[in-house]
Amino acid sequence: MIPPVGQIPPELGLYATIFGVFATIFIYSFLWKENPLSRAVEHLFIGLAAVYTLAAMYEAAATVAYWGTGRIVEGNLIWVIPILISLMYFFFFSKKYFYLYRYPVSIVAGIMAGMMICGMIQSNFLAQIQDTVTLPLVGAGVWEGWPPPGLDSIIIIIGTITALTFFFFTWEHKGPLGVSAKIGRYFLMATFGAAYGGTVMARISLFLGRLTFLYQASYPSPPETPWFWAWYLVPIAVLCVIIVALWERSRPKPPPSATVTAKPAPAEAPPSRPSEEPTPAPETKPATAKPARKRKSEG
Amino acid sequence: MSLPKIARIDRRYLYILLFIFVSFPLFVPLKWPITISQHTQNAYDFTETLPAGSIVIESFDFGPSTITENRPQAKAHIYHAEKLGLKVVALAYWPGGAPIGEAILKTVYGSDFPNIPEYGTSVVYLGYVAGNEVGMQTFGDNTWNAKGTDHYGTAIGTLPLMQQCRSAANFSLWAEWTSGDPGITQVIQFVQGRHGGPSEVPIITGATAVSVPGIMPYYRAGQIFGIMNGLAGAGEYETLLVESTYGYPYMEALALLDAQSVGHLLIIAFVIVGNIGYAISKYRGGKGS
Amino acid sequence: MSVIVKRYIPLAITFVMGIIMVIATYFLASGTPEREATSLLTASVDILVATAGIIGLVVLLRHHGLNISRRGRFWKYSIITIIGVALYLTVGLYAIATHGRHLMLSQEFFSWVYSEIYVHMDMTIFSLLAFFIASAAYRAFRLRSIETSILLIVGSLMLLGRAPVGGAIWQGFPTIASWLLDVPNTAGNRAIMIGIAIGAISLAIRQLLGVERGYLGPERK
Repeated sequence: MIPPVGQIPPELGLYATIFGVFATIFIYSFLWKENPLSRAVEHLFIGLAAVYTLAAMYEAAATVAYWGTGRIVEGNLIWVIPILISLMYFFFFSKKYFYLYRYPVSIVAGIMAGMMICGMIQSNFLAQIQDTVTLPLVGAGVWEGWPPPGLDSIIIIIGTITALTFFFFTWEHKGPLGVSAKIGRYFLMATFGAAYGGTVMARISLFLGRLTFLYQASYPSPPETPWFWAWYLVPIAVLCVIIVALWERSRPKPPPSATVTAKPAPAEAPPSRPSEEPTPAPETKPATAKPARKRKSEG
Repeated sequence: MSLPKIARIDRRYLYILLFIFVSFPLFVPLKWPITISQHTQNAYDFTETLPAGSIVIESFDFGPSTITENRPQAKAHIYHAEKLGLKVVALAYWPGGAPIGEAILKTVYGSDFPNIPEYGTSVVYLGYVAGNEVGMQTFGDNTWNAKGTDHYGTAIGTLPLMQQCRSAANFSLWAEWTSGDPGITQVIQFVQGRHGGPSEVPIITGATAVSVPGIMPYYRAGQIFGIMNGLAGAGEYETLLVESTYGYPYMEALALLDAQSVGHLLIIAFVIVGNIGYAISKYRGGKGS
Repeated sequence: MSVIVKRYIPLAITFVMGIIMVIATYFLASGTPEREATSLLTASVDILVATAGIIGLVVLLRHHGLNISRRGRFWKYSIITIIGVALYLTVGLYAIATHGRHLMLSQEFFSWVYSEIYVHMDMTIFSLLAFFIASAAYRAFRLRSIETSILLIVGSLMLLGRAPVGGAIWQGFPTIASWLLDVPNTAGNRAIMIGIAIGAISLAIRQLLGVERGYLGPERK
């Protein structure tokens, strides 16, 4: 059932491509309307992600403590100590001895806090301040060209100081502090604009990756001549989504449950409405309807 | 007063427009010329200055979610390093980066990797190194303490390259391929900052476009020597390699940049159309959206 | 006595570990045996974190198991999660049982499942953000004030400058985009970075001194 090491049949690549196409289309169907297929794939994703993360941690821990040069397998038993301490994590599930769970947590928290102090001071604090105060304002070539480096230096100095004053919440932003904070806010808006541009770039790139798969994935892979292309299955996957969505719509809606839970797809607010801002949830269940609305109209 | 029609387009039609318009250049290349940014040029030039035999750390700190941006960056640089005769110690601080890194090394060094003659002397793949920033600090202090074996189970002490690469003092360059935490920020804080600063541990990075604005202060402060900015940065580095004597047979990013451009234009168009609708509604005296 | 064991000893451990890290960084030279000894300490964190990963998986299974037993929201999908965990865990445990390690090697079926099955879902879920960005661009980004105008103009110039189409339209767009990244963006981000550093350092000091105790978890009687 499970292929041995190095003997994975090549035909499994075909099944993986088929699964990939269906998973992609099912997840994208969420953009149209949340449906059982998109939910199913998302839940499967969660399960696989959890196991893979754990497996990676296990493998890494094993190669830190057990296998390798200077480890337990070579007789260096000092690595047994962190293994024994890590077992104290399981007291998380004990009511009586829960406090023993705190010991390994304290070790990790202390190390992380110590590292944070050292790392932040040097790299994020001193180095940044040092660079700001040593920006060139005089000297050969500082005021030549366009834009001159000296002008850039002045803009960075003013921008850094004013943006810092924006975060002074101890005093009210009035007078000189108010002016400085306002200028700082403009610089922060420029920062957020750059972040927005970068975000759009990154997200479009993610989407391009999936488009590339849908249009170009084939079996078998080059250099062999492919006879199956992933996009053959796209209409079939879309048809599956339509069928399931119609089936879900035809099912009778369950009555509102006694416990307060958000309904997945409220019929009174279909997505085909004109895209105004989401109206407040129905009066009967404002708190429960809002999460569903937010999810549906996200973005 | 209700919004004008132009401001009430159902978002699902926008999704369809995005799908269609971004797909078009994948079938009909538009071949817009690419401009090399100074950030990418600096990364390329710094790598060129390294003498043969220098040890380069290639860190695959990204997952499948950002593979489109980070994989071409990493692949281009590792190819460049291999052509320059640099010694590569590759690793990943993200679990998802480990198989992706192995696939990149197989592409550059051949499908037989690691069963190649130069494995262990010119290239080593350590795989996933746990601990996030703690693992980075450990690796910088003592590489043998961070992991006892390489990705394939070979004891680290038996690899000649790892005999030379014992701590950050031996690194000539740290090439960080990053999409979040742990990433470039942690390398600067917990490796470079602890071992003498940029002159001792020079860093170049390929980051996702969303991360680059946040790391620009490090670049201006000289803590990073070069940046590949997202997919565009990868395309620029590929272009530099193609135009050099090395050539580059593994083009990946350049083919996607036209589609990226169309996506950008479409987003700008959406912003303009949305603001036109907002302006019309304000003019009519109604509530803006 | 019980308060000492349950609360003060963990706080003391946190303090001691943190002080060791600070001393190692500022008072021990790089390359000395003493500093390398602290790398043994940090390497042990990897082992501790791995066990915490098991806790995370158990908590996930418990959450979905309870959801199924109580017929909670989307309980049928929790079955899918648990089946996925069970199958993938079986593959992983089989690999460990047969040869003890190398789960992550490309020849391993465990790694193949990740590369060929999981990756598609991961990439697709994150690529949904592209559509949400498009929707946000249309519906939310309005030129209402000077601040939002700056944000939108800078963002648009970045989009034009960082793609080939900008250079095709006008040679100045890439230059402007680089300048925006190098100068005003750096200024704003530098201020944010310094502020975050101050906050993180103060939080770390509070944690070391025992003022911040949230990481210890709830007090259970």
